[in-house]
Formats: sequence, C-alpha cells, structure tokens
Amino acid sequence: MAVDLQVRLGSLVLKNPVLTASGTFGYGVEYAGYFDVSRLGGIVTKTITLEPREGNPMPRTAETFAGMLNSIGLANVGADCFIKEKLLPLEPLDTAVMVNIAGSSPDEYEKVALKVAAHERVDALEVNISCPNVNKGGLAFGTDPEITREVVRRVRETTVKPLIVKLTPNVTDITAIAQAAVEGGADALSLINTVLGMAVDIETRRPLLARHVGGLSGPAIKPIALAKLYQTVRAVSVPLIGIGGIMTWQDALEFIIVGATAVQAGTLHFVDPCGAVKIIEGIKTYCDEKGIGDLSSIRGSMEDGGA
Amino acid sequence: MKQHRMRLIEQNQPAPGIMRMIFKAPDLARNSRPGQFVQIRVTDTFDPLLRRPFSIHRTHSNGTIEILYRIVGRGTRLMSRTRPGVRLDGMGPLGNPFQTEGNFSTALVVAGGMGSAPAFMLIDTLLKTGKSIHFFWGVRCDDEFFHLEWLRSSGVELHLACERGDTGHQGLITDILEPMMNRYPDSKGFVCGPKPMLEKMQRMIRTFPIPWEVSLEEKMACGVGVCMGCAVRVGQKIQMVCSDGPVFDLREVDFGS
Ligand SMILES: Cc1cc2nc3c(=O)[nH]c(=O)nc-3n(C[C@H](O)[C@H](O)[C@H](O)COP(=O)(O)OP(=O)(O)OC[C@H]3O[C@@H](n4cnc5c(N)ncnc54)[C@H](O)[C@@H]3O)c2cc1C
Ligand SMILES: Cc1cc2nc3c(=O)[nH]c(=O)nc-3n(C[C@H](O)[C@H](O)[C@H](O)COP(=O)(O)O)c2cc1C
Ligand code: FES
Repeated sequence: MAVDLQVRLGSLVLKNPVLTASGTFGYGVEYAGYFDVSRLGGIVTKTITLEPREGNPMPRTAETFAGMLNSIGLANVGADCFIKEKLLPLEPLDTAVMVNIAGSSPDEYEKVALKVAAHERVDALEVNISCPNVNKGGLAFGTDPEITREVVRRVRETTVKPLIVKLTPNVTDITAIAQAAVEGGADALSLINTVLGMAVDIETRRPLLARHVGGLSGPAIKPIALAKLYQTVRAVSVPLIGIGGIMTWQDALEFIIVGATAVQAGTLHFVDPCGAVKIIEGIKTYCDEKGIGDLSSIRGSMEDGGA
Repeated sequence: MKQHRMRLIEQNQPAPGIMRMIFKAPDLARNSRPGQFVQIRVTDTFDPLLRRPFSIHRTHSNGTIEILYRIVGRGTRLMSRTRPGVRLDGMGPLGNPFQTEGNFSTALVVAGGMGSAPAFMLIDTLLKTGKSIHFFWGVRCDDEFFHLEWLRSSGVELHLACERGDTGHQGLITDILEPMMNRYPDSKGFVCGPKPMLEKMQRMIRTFPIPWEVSLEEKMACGVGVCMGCAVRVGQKIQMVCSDGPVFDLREVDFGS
C-alpha cells in the first residue's frame, strides 16, 4: 500500500507536506521551467506589503559556512500589483497558494490581509512577524507577545481562511510568542524565519552585508530550527510547519518526527531548484519501505533518549 | 533555462591563475547567446552552499561549452581541481544576451580582466554577422592575454593594454579607447569588466552618441530572479542583474558611488 502524504493545516488540505519558504520561490512560477510546481504541497509567496518595497542597500546576500546571510528587506511588488499580475499565473497550478504578508503596523497588516485574502486563488495567509531585515514591524513584532497577539487578532478579523503565523528564532522563549499567536487566532504556526547573523571581510574590515546584520539560512541553522520546533510542539496544539536548513528528505523527516505537520524548504531552491520534489519522493520511498501508510503515524513520534 | 549535467572533458590554464573548462553540454551549447551565464554547483555537498555564476565563454557546434574563470576563493579553487569525466550541475542559459543584431557596421568590444570571458562568445557571434570588430582588451599583467593570433587571423582589430608587461599600451584600456572613440560614428559598443572600469566608461561615453551595452556582475544566490539579492538601479528602477540583466544600457546604470 502506497503512503498517503496528505496533511491538514486547519481547514486546508495539502496533497503532501512539502512547501516552499517565503522569499526563496518568488511569486511561484519562476522555477516552473525546472519542474512541475503542481507537485508541491503548496507554495508560499515572497512577503507582500501594502506598498511596493525596493529593499535594502547592496550587498544584501553573503555566503557563510553551510549557509547564507540575507538582508533583502522585503523587496516586493506591493499588494495591488501582486493581485493584478502575480496571482493569475498561479490559477492553473494544482497546489495550495499561501501568501506571506507583512506590515509596519498592526493596521498595515490588517490592510494587506484584507486585500489579499479576499482573492479566490489565495488558500491561506502566512503572517510574517519575524523578518530581521526591516526597521519597523517584522522582528520587532515577533519578539513581543502582546504585539504578536494584536497583529494576529487584526489579521484574523479579515478572513476565515487558514492563518499561519511565522515565528522568529531570535527570542529567549519561542513558546511565549507561539502561545500569543494562537491566542490571537492562528490556525497554524511556521518556524523558523532566519537567525540573526553577521560576517566581516578582514581585508576591508567591512561587514559583508551593507546593513551589517542579516538573516542566516541554510543547513547551518537546521539544529536551531529543530530545537525551536521541539519546544513549540510542547506548548501549543495547532499544526506546526517546520522550516530551517531543510535540504534533503532525511532533514524533512527529522522535522516531522519531532512534530511538524508540514515543512518548508527555502535556501534549497538556490542550490537545487528541483530539491523540493526530491524531498517528496524521498519521504514517499521511506514510508513505503517502512510500511507507513499515513504521515500522522510518524508525526511527533520521537522517542526519548539519545541515539 | 534548465538544469544540465555538464560533463567536464578538459580543463586547462590559458594564463596564470585563470582556468578554462570545456564541458559537453549540447542543449546549453545550442541555446546560449553571448552575455548569458550559467550557475554552476561546484560540489555535491552543501558547503560551499551556493552556485557560482560564470559567463558562457564560448560554445561549439560539437555540443561543447567553455567557461573561463579566475581562481579567487573556495568555489573556484574546488572547480580548478575537478577532473575530466566529472559531471557538474549547471543551470542555464541564464540572463539576457547582448543584442548583436542591428544597423551598426562596427562593433567596439571592451573587456577588462575577466570581462574577456563573455567577450569571446560575443566576438564569435559578431564575426558571423560580418561586422568589423575592434577588441579593446585590458589586463593587469600581459601573461593574461591568450588567443591573440586567432583573433588577428579572424580579422579582429586588436587594441591591447596591460598595467604590467610590454604587450600593447602600458596602462588602462580606457586610456587608448578614449581618444579613438569618435573615429567610429556608425558603431555599437559592448563592455564587460570590473566596476571601476565600467564607471569610467560611463563618464567617457557621455559625448559619444552610439549605443553601449554593459554586462554587470553582482553577488548572486538564486540566479533566476527570485531571491532579490542582486539588485542594481537602472534608469531609476531597481532591477535584478540575474534576470533583468546582466546586460543593460551602460548610460542607465547607477553605479551608486
Ligand atoms: C553574471 C556573472 C558572470 C560571471 N562570470 C564570470 C566569469 O566568466 N569568469 C570569472 O572568473 N568570474 C565570473 N564571475 C564572478 C564569479 O562568479 C566569482 O568569481 C565566483 O563566484 C567566486 O567564487 P569563489 O567561491 O571562488 O569565491 P568566494 O570565496 O565566494 O569569494 C572570493 C571573492 O570573489 C568575490 N565574488 C564571489 N562571488 C562573486 C560574484 N558572484 N560576482 C563577483 N564577485 C564575486 C567575493 O567578493 C570575494 O572577493 C561572474 C559573476 C556574475 C554575477
Ligand atoms: C533570500 C531570502 C529571502 C527571504 N525572504 C523572506 C520573506 O520575504 N519573508 C519571510 O517570511 N521569510 C523570508 N525568508 C526566510 C525563509 O522563508 C526561511 O524562513 C529561512 O530561509 C529558513 O529556511 P531555509 O534554511 O530552508 O532557507 C527569506 C530567506 C532567504 C534566504
Ligand atoms: S541572484 Fe537571486 S535575484 Fe538575482
């Protein structure tokens, strides 16, 4: 019997648990020439803000050991252009579309959500309260339980569609933020966004990023992501989406075993544009070989003790 | 735009510190145009993590492509040790090519440093159009010149400059280009090279009303326009070097200095 990879995030049914992480898959069709995007469980768009954003000064990416730093600064076309131009190409795709949104005030979050969520092609919203690369909003919101609750509550009022709240690892206690997001009305949580990081060129004595600090992603952050997921699993009962350094199907299974309902691959796309499909194939083979009929039987199945 | 398993058939060193890789990659060879690039994964592991972008240096009708690169860091060092027979994963052709068609009779091709990598494919293509070609080639040390005989015998008018050595002019390529520019009113210019040279070129061409295309480089992560990492301001708008370029109108680029 072949495994059924279908999973649920609130009212949203995904055909498999593998999604693309915001900011690493553009507006969903840029990689269409490399593989059939409809094979994915879902795509998460680049963060959309009310107004278009040009992003931060250059340089805004740098490679580090088994990872990369970015300080893109939420460069995006803005909500109106997104709705007018970027949603149409997604119509024919047989995969869930989740739109990631952000704002510089709770008011702005609400306004973007109102514009975006109403559109039929949008299956869910992912609320980004965790971007380390902007001065207002972003990380400043996602590190404060009160503001987190307020932002989520405001977005919640705009839609009945599933609401995913994306958490930052750059906090002392992620469970406090997770609980606040659930209290605000989140149907699911995704974690983690990038880890605050930095690198310096010793010849010029300048930071590699123009904005000095940025967000670390890639294999280097996977252990951090797993630990944050592990803590969050114990604190809330909504479905969780694991993110951070997922490059292979083995990585994805680690997150599922710790308790993730779905996973997002981000930086992987830059390394291997077809990587997400390979993860789906790998999970399938693993389950078939082990006689696992349904992902729920391994989700959160981690045993105690060391390997 | 595709992923290719490019089989390395030869690697040699045309000049000190500069390597040439020849790959069998028929699809890529057939579909690439001058100015486009390929994003090469230098290892099967995840460290170094990101692909490295390289201009397509030449393509051949036998299904091979060449890239020409300088060893500057971890990725290029690993590449230089890759043996024939190994397959490297390359995404391409990426970006928009130089426009070699048009009503100009003379092409001015200006290359500084590793700008010679795209310049050769550009020259190969221009030769087929029958236009006369002036190649202005500047390097740091004259042992970095190669293929000079082939260029001359193909009818390319060579103008060379080096900062060290005694081939051609002693100094910058822009020194010899500047006083000559007005000799070619019915021409089109193409330039690739380090940023300071491009900025100087931009100032020089203010009073020289022919079209100039430039190929830019920026640090890249995705290479296909999704990460928004390789931004440059061109004609008041933010553009991505990888997907909107790398070829732009030289007059419109904001070098931001
Ligand atoms: C569109 C495009 C085409 C290119 N074509 C060629 C080519 O034909 N031949 C060639 O030799 N080089 C080319 N480059 C530059 C080449 O990509 C870099 O030299 C290479 O990525 C360095 O990798 P590394 O791991 O050896 O160096 P790293 O260890 O990553 O870095 C070493 C040094 O190289 C610089 N560097 C790293 N990445 C880039 C980059 N993407 N662009 C510019 N500098 C960089 C770093 O700032 C650093 O100073 C091109 C770059 C772009 C964007
Ligand atoms: C270049 C780049 C841009 C990103 N942009 C966004 C963004 O706009 N919104 C967001 O919520 N996360 C953004 N992220 C974070 C990713 O969605 C993801 O949380 C993070 O990269 C960790 O996953 P990974 O290690 O698989 O990349 C970005 C990451 C990268 C590398
Ligand atoms: S390198 Fe990602 S947008 Fe250009």
